[in-house]
Amino acid sequence: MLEVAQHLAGGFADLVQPANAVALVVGLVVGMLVAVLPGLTLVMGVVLALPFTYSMPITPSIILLTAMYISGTYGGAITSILFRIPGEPMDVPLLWDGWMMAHAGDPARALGWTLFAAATGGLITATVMVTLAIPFAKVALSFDSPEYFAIVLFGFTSVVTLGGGSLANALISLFVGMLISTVGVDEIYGVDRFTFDIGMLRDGIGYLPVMVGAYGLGEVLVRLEQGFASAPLSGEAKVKTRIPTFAEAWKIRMTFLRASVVGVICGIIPGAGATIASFVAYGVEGQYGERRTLLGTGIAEGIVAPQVASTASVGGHMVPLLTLGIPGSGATAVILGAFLLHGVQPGPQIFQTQSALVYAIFASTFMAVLGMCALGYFAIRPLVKVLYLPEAIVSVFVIMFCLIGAYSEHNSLTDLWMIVVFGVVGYLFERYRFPIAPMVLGTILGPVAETAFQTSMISYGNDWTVFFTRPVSGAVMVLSATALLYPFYNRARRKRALVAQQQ
Amino acid sequence: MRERLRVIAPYAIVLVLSGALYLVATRFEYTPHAGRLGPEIWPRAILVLLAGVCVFRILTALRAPRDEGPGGGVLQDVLANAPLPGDAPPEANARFPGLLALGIAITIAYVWLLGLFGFALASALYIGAMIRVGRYRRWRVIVPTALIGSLAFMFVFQKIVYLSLPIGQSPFSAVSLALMRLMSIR
Repeated sequence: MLEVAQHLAGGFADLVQPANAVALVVGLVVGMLVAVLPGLTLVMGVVLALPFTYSMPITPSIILLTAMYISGTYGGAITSILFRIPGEPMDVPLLWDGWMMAHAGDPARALGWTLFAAATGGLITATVMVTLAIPFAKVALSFDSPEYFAIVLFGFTSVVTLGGGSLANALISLFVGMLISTVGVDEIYGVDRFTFDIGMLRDGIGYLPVMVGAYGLGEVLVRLEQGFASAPLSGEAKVKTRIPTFAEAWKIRMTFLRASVVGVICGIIPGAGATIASFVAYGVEGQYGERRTLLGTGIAEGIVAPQVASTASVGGHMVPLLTLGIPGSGATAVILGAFLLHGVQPGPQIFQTQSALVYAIFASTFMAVLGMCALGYFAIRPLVKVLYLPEAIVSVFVIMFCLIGAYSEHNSLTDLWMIVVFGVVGYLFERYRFPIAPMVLGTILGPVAETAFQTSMISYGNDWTVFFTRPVSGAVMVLSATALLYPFYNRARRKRALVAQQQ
Repeated sequence: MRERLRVIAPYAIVLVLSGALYLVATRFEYTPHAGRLGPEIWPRAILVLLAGVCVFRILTALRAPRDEGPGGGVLQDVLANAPLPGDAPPEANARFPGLLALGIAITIAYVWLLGLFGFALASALYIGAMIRVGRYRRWRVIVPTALIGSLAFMFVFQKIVYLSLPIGQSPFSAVSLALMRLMSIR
């Protein structure tokens, strides 16, 4: 424990370096701006920032993206409460009680509760991250290729089943992503796979054009088809924040506790990100809260539960990313991309090989939470002003960042064609309700899964039962099967209940 | 019947494509290594699973086109039992497929023209055109935004990030080179 504290102190000392401090501040500001602007999503913002990290050292790169991720979970709350416009899907539950409290004439109190909740969720998530990461990594050190394959598979199945929407569409999206990752020259045999004698395909399709195209250009195309029709600004435009007193917060301590647990758990489970954490925490409050019957009328619990959970999910997501190299969400997939671009593979070894980097990330998480609160409290007025920027102009600059970002990887115009192709694919996915996240995760983790599968087959004489006979991999495979079968069971149960109700 | 076809179409297209790619995968040429699976096994397994899901979805859509099949369960379970007010955010209903087609066409043209016009000129034209396509009509804002935006990108990425952006072909390259001289970009 003392050793962890010493390393963490070193991490805080690293933050004093100008590059790291600037990355932290820029990440906080940009993350909050992106979350405030409707039409721009948190993941899109992190994706757009990724190309800028090419020329940066790895520590400020990861600090920048992590700070964006953390402050992005808070920024959208401001517009939900003041203007009834959720900046992010995770902010939708804040429309119910947050906006109602503001509408009832107390927007400063609603904003204060949100800020207090984000700070609490953030500090809890940072503490959980530091506490859980090392034990996680120690356990992961004993894993062999079958365990890795099983864990990646579990990541896939949980992303597919927890993402909401149609299971079939999510599976198709995942398989398309995995298929994209097979394009290019096979590493073991040196065979061209799906290259069709096209030179640019021999190097494979990188996850960067897939991410930037689908999340960036694709989202803009979806908004363009809607004519960039943002909801009109209505509601409270008073932008003051009144932080609740400790006594007020203590009264609803159980709400803080429940939402923190929900947030951290949703963070650790791949696929269940901040949005699901926010909705589930609100739902749990509706089931177990002392004032559950008043939810939706503008009470503090309805603001605190979703905000604590969405911010608390960040640290949960970072644990499997750092210790296993498995991202559980779009944003952590991008952060993994930044690690890989700098030649660092997250995993259990990272605490030995990149200890200073890991602790700098931990320290930056604590500082990001404090910075986010300061920014949210003092800079709320100019932040709200960006809402008045015409979406057409903002969107064009988003596309420009997408294109230049992709171009900068290889200084090649062919990468721009990839962006356009995946932008259209992203649009089609959105249009026909295929989730994009499974495709992106499939593209990133497809090669990891294939390597783990091939290595297991070589090591265990092509015996596929090895995935089920080893205790850890067997247990994880059962979990994957359960995750995949649960929606079928759930559907059958609902049908039975409906039939019984009709009779 | 028409609705069924509309629902089935994307899955049928993916099914046909996965069948075609499966055939391609069976023709990978390689020298087998003893005790190792071939390079076609993994993509073929993915394609079989992909085709399987498409067939499942087509069959369910034929029976009930509006039924999307099983969905994510945990979230729905929690929310179903919670007293949530039905107050969803406003959603845009109007669609402008013409704008979309124009936007895609302009983006393709931009990528194509970058090599000819160079970054500065092509980007200024692209930014202006896309803002206009995005239904913003104030030319007094569009023109300066396009010009300043293009030059700002050029300055930041060439002067600060040291990125080599396309300068275009003659005579347009002369404009790019003149701008680079003005910004002291080497």
